[in-house]
Parts: sequence; C-alpha cells; structure tokens
Amino acid sequence: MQSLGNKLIFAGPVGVGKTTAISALSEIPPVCTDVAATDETLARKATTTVAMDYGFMTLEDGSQIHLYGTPGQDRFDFMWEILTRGGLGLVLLVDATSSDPAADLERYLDAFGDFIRSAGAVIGITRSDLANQDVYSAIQQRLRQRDQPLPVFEIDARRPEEVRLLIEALLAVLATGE
Amino acid sequence: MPSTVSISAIGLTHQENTVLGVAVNLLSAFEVAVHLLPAGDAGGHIAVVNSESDAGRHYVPAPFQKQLVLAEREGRGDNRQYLLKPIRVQALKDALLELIAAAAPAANDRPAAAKQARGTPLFYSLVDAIIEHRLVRLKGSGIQLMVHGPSRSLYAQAAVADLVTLIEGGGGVQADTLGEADFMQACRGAREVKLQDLLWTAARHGGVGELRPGHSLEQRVRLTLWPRFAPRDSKPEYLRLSAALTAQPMTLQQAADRCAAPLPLVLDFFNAALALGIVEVSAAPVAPPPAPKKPSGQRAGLLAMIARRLAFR
Ligand SMILES: Nc1nc2c(ncn2[C@@H]2O[C@H](COP(=O)(O)OP(=O)(O)O)[C@@H](O)[C@H]2O)c(=O)[nH]1
Ligand SMILES: [Mg+2]
Repeated sequence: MQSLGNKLIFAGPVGVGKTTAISALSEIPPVCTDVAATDETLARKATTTVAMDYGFMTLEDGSQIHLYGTPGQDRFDFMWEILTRGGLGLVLLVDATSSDPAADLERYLDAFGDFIRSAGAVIGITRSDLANQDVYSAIQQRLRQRDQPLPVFEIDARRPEEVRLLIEALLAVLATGE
Repeated sequence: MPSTVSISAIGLTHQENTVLGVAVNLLSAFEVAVHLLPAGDAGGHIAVVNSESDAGRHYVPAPFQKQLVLAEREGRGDNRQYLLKPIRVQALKDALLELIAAAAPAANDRPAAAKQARGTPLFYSLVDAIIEHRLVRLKGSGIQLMVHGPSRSLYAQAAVADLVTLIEGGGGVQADTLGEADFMQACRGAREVKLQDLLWTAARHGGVGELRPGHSLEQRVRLTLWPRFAPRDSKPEYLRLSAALTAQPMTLQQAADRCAAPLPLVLDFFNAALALGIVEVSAAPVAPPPAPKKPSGQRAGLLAMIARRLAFR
C-alpha cells in the first residue's frame, strides 16, 4: 500500500467554485501557489510549475490536510494525473450553468479515472441556483449509465456546511475501500 | 441546539461584509458551528444589520431571530444588540459569540407548527404511496402534498421551505388514494416538489424502522446511485450506508453491522432508497459474500481525524 495521502484535490472548470470551496475549509484564505509537477514521460520538459489554489486544515495531531485546487484550463490537462500524487481523494465540481454539465463531468471522470479508482471521489454540482435545467438528474443518469455510483450533492460553494457535507461523503467513500 | 448557527447579513457595506466574513471564519476555526448565508438570504438565526442602510432601516426580523445592529450610536431593543461603527473583527466576533450562545437554544424552537400527532407519519405514507404506485393526497398538520407514485413526483401549493418546517413539526397526515381525474383536479395550481427535498426530512421526523412487506433481512441489496440530502437531514450513518451499499451488495443486517448503524435506522434508509428507485435486490446468496474490505487502522484513523476536524456530528 502507498503511504497515506494528505491532499484533497478540488477539480472542475474555471468559475465552478473551487477557490470558494477551499476557503470554506481552509484555515487560511486560499493562496495561489506554484507546484512543481514532474513527469519523466514528458520529453519536452522535466519539471513544470503550475499555479494552484492552496489551503490547509490542521488536524488534532498537528498534521495537515492540504487542499489543492487544480487549474481549470485545458492546457493543464496533462498535469492532472501528476498533481493527484499523494492525494487522498477528489472533489469534482460541476457547474450547473454550463451548456452540458454531464459532458463536463465525464471529461473529468475520464481524466482522473485512475485516481478515482485508486482513491475516491465526490461530485458537487454548484450554481444550481442560477441554472434552469435539472442538472442533478442528468448527472445521476450519466453515472448510472457508467455504473459509477459516486456521491452527488447540489451545493452552493459559498455555504461551508454544504462543502463540509461533500467532504463527509468523500470520507465515507474512502473508508469503504483501500 | 441547531448543529449550525446561520447568520444573515442585511445591508452591510462591502467593508463590513469582509469583516463579517473574517469574523465568521475565525469562529469556525475555533470550532463554533456557524455559517454565513449568501447575500439576500435573511432567514438566519442571527441577522447582522447595518442600520445606516436602506435595507437595514426597513428590516423586520423573523420571529426568534437575534439581531446584531451595526450603528453610529448605541441603541436598545429586545432580542438585539448594538455594535458601534467602524466595525472591527475582534469586537464583531465577540458580539457574535455572545449571540450564538443566546441564539442556540431558542433557534431550535421551531415557530409553533401545528403539533398534533394525528394520522400516520408522513414518511410512512409517502413511501407507501410511491412503492405501491398510487396517486395519493397527504393531508394534515398544515401539510397538503400530492404524491404521484408511478412517477415518484410530488406536487404542493406550499414552498419547499415551508413544507420542511411543517414536516419538522412532526405531525401526522391522512392519506387518501385518488383516481386520475381527482388527482389532476387536486393538483391544480400546485408546483412540483422534488422527492429528495422532502423525503429525508420526513425520514428524520417520522421514521418507523420497519421492513416493507415483500422484503427480508436475508436478501442482498445494492444501491445503484447515491441518494442526496440537505446537510440538516444528513446523518453519518446515511453516508456510511450509502458508501457501503454502492460499493457492494450485502444484506441489511450486514450493512447495519458494517456501518455501526441501528437496524431501525437502516430500514428507514432502505425504505427511502426504495422510494427513490435506487435499490437493486437480489436473493440470498448461497455462500456468504466476501468480507468487505476494511481500511487499514492508520488510514481509518486519519479519516476519523479529518471528520472530527470538520466538526462533523
Ligand atoms: N450563485 C452561486 N455562485 C457561486 C456558487 N458557488 C460559487 N459561486 C461563486 O462563483 C464564483 C466563482 O467561484 P470560484 O471559487 O472563484 O471558482 P474557481 O474558478 O473554480 O476557483 C465566485 O464568485 C463564487 O462566489 C453557487 O452555488 N451559486
Ligand atoms: Mg479559483
């Protein structure tokens, strides 16, 4: 077994609420930090730095859980898998006001596929208050088709109790598997 | 005591909003279960009101709501406290802490919703109607809810928030099964309400802990999807049951053991899942299912620490 991860990764398109969700949990206001992402398979460059949102929570034994928000831009797609190393679990946020939220979701489910299988994930649908489509049902239907029953909650990233519920569900998923 | 005390901001300046945000974050960091409602939501246990703004001057607090008034000079009033401008984080934090201590017990007293426990618990009638594919009018305790069993749809005149308050009042309902025409007639002017928006509140306030006819403790069940519930209706056991039962099929007794959940609670959870149509039932296995994977002690400890850090119940 790998060493215990101590990172929670927040992923999703630009504007979905990653920074807001991290700030709901973090003891510091989220900061933008450069993370070195090394990948030996990338011939063009051994090490690249990516700007990520960063925050943390301190646990009772003094250790920290690091909260990282992945950059949403497509040009960073190739880094996602690398950035999940040492990850405990994934918080996937989907914007209900997007033109095709279920397609957005699938793109992220596929991109983070290995990580989701080895760790675990939870899905938060944000901005439902601004959407006039039933995104929750569309997402659940897509998950049913994929036979991938991940937790899905509609949340407002600005409401910390809703963000906490998302993490609580993720912890329950992580506790069932290895 | 409510698990979380909510705070509404009424007419605050940009600067005051920022100060409030920091104060609330500080309180959260000190494990005070408090959260700031989004702008425009005035329904918090505590309202922080800028008395120098139009919105603040005309603000009428909800019953039981405590007010913290930001003002140029001192004032007086029942259920309200004053804080002199300019507002400082430390002073605001301390004032909030005082109000939270005062707000907590009162906030739990729901505005006296009709509390007659007549009829059947709503949860029972609701699940019944859906499982049996009936068209039903549920009525009582101030609630009127039309249940279209075959499509798992609900219709009501009242807003979801009001229905939630009424259901939390815990009253019972009478269930009348209607024909198609009467049902349509009774639904006039009603709006669709999502089943998941009421089901878990109903389970929390009227669970019966019974197995439905046709089901047994020996059958194996699996969830095809995760249910969803509002934070107020969430229970750690629901989350554990959802995670376990989506991961692999098992009997309800195994689920209870594995998730450290009392069997009646597991049965209510299962009944709700039946109503949502997210259950797959298979007959009892010949051989017992493989022992569920358990996370390592170290990992379980880490997950528990994170849960405690987030001040989960
Ligand atoms: N209306 C609404 N706004 C939200 C919600 N969640 C987040 N926001 C807002 O959306 C904006 C973008 O959020 P941000 O965290 O910066 O997104 P990021 O690009 O993923 O980091 C911010 O102004 C948030 O306050 C939601 O559920 N509803
Ligand atoms: Mg951001």
